[in-house]
Amino acid sequence: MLHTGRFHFSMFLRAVLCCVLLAATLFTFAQDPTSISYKVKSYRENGIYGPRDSKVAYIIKLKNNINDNQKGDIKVNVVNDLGISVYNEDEPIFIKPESIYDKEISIDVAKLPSGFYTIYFYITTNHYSQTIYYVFAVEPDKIKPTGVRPLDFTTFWDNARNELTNINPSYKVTRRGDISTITNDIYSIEFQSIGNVAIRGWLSVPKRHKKNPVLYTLPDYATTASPESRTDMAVFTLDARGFGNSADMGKLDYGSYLTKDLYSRDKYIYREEYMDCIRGIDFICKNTDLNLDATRIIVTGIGQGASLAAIVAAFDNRVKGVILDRPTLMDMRTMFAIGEVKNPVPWPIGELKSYCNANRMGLDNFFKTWDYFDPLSFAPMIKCPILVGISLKSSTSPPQCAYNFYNQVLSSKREIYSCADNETGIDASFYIFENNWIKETLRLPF
Amino acid sequence: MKKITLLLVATVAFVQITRAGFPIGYGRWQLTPGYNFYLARGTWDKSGNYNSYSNGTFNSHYIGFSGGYGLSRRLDFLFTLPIEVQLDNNTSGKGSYLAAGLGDAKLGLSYFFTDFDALNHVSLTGSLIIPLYKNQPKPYPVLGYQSFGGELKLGFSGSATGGFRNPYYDMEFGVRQYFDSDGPTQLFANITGGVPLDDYWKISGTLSGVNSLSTSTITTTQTSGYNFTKNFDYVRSAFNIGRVINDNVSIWGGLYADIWGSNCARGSGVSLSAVIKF
Repeated sequence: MLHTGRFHFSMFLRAVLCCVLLAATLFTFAQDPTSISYKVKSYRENGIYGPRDSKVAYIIKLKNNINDNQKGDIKVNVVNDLGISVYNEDEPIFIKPESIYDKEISIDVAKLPSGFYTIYFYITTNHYSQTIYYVFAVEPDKIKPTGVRPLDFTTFWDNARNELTNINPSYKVTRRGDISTITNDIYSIEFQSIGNVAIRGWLSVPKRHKKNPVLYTLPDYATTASPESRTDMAVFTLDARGFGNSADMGKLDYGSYLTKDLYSRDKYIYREEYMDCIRGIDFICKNTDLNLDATRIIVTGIGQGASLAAIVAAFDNRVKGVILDRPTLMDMRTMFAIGEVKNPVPWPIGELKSYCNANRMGLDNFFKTWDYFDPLSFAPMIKCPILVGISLKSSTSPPQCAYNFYNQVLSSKREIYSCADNETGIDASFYIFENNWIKETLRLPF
Repeated sequence: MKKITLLLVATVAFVQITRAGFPIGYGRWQLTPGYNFYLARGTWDKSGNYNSYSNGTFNSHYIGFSGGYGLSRRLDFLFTLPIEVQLDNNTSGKGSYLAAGLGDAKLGLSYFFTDFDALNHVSLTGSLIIPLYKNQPKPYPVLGYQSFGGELKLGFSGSATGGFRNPYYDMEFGVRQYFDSDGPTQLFANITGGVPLDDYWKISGTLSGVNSLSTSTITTTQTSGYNFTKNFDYVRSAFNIGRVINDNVSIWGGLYADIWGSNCARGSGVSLSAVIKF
């Protein structure tokens, strides 16, 4: 009897297990991603809510695409940039076949302190499951920066600039007829910088009988420069030392560049890199016979290039405008604070922590060194017009860090362009804005 | 009638060349001095039948000084100051008569609804028409309706990037009201398309039309003395070619002709203008 009882119990367990597996399988296969199509519209298209806004609002439209009722709910969760939940809401939904569900989710702005937030919409029905998220900011211009500028910051950089001054630039300009075009002359450029390292780049100059304003484009992290042409401006692009044509000292790679000689602020790669970029401005100003108008220089860059552009604009008042396109490596303390709670942890936090661990360098010591190089420390030195483009969903170029920087810039003409829903880049409209901004700043014809 | 039509059309021609539907730019000036010559050899009657003048021609010389200033990225101030010479060159067979002087000045504001990052623009322009002259008694030609007026127009403009040499379009649809007892009220439209041929040369074509409504019963077939109409329609085509001199200056030349009308003169002419930006 006992034996039989065990057998029956075992059979029962197997049956239950099979039922559970079958139910799970049915449930899994019952989820049809096409059963609902959705549209979400933010009350503020750029995701930035200011003092005039009383609410943060999203309008959600769900369309039931199948011939069956859909019942479920939308769970709303708002988390701050440290990952702490600050608002929750649960909305039941019932959508008849081929019908539309329309709902405004709104949050009282007064309940949200200045800062950045992520709002998640978990949409679940008997046929559908989807998670959508958006990032928004509440009065980000009121966020207080967290940067720590070293006391000897000015002396440190004065020394670096003196060292650069003592290096003979030995400019070399070679016209490249093989890649020049009907409209533009292309030149390969070379000059000497700190450590007598040859830095090279490309200059494209429109063929016309007048001086050309210059768009000075600095390199993104671990990228190589190539000639870029416009018909209304000269474009000067530069290879960072260790990359592309500036690798006489030996090629550096994606993994090693950021931490090269990080153990010493006097030898750290970015000390030299910043000086290389400043020498680029010297090159423009010393070579106006190439039809360059040294009184109209815009410096720009994407990612790391944006941070380099900020440094150049801070150091050099010959720059008439600066454009930062999704700056990265900026306000590293904030980047660590908000990045470490994310999954996955965004670049370059992991790389820097690995370096610190391997070299027995505490994070505090890293920050003490980085503070000399963080563009945040340079922000108050920028006096020229500035345009910053941010993508709210970017984790490697966090908008929080860009805003912290932006809030410290003292220029009377400063603008920030926010794209709310672009995970991989920035909206094309930014580049139209940027182009118009350049024309406005340099008084070029529209 | 003939002079009135002439006056209005000349203004339109200048505006179109300057790409009125595009913002001037914050803190920028745009000036457009220009000259139009107009020659009419006959008129359309109310039914649209063409009748040559029995004698002579009607000529007009229009020197316009248009421009604008960008008050902000969205708001432009616009103005037009014309000088006109209207010559009735013996069209009635009773002699030639000339009137010359300032015409109808225009002051206006143009607001752009679209953002700074837009390739296409939508604008609303409101203008005040101010007569700067006093017409001479018949049989001398008139310089305008000698009446204050107002104008409201909606503009759509834009340019394509990446297409064939970045073509652009510029459309305006509006209403003009003269504050005289019999108006007129005029509905007008201008549609322009342009394309750069290279870095220096540009061409554009414009189709424009005016529908003028009034309680006035004067027609082109009336022969007693000198008169002008307020009830008329016409469609005009224009072709312009422009040469970029430098970033700030371009010059334009063009031909235009009335291609359809009723109760107005039929003419054609040439235009010359410069667009100066600073």
